[in-house]
Amino acid sequence: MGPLNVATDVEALSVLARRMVELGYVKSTYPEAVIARERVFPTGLPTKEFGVAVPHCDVVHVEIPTIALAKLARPVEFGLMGDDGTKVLVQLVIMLAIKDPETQIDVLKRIALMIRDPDMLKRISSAADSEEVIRVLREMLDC
Amino acid sequence: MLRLVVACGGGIFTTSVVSEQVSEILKKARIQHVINPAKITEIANITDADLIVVTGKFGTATRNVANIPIISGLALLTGVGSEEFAEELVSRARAIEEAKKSGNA
Repeated sequence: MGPLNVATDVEALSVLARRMVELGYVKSTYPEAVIARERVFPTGLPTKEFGVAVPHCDVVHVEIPTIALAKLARPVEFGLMGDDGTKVLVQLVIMLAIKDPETQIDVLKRIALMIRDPDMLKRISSAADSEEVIRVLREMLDC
Repeated sequence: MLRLVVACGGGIFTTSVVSEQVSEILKKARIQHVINPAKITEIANITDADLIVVTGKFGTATRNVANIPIISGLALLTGVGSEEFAEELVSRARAIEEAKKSGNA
């Protein structure tokens, strides 16, 4: 599966979320919930390297804790986290289906560390294929 | 004891991660603290905290009734300006502690 070619944040969220429903990781209510939440509390983060979005929504929509990652073929505008209207050009979407933030805090911290690390982001964006992206992720998340 | 509130939109990802990092910064600076999570929609009415850290910018709509200072913790997520944030957090925390000791709080 190559980079995701979409024009809007809603499209990006929709593709990822529907895939997670198909695989049984989240409930059928998840896609609508994650899109709705992004509208009110956007998750675009302007890191040192390129924009990263971390969409997520309420734990009630999640069956199996999951991370879905998509590289975007072309940068897509997401709202800046904090909701003041500013847009962030995002190239990497990390969709988080969190079920229990307390027990999953370690993974969440590692994701945050990864986002703050330009080298990790470069490795992901220059990865040749999904296997390599997964390898980088596993290394970072230690799982 | 410094009372902090960390607030974000959903109270899941960013509050967990930012709270951990804020705690580590304060532990290194040997500042005793307690951190409570909140949603951004709740922070206007908080009265029992010394400092509020929000993830992301906040508009003037998010003024707090008790005039508790609000700072943005977005740097901890983006990595941009995270050292400056840590410095500001520690210096504000120390100023608050001093004010409490001298009875000015």
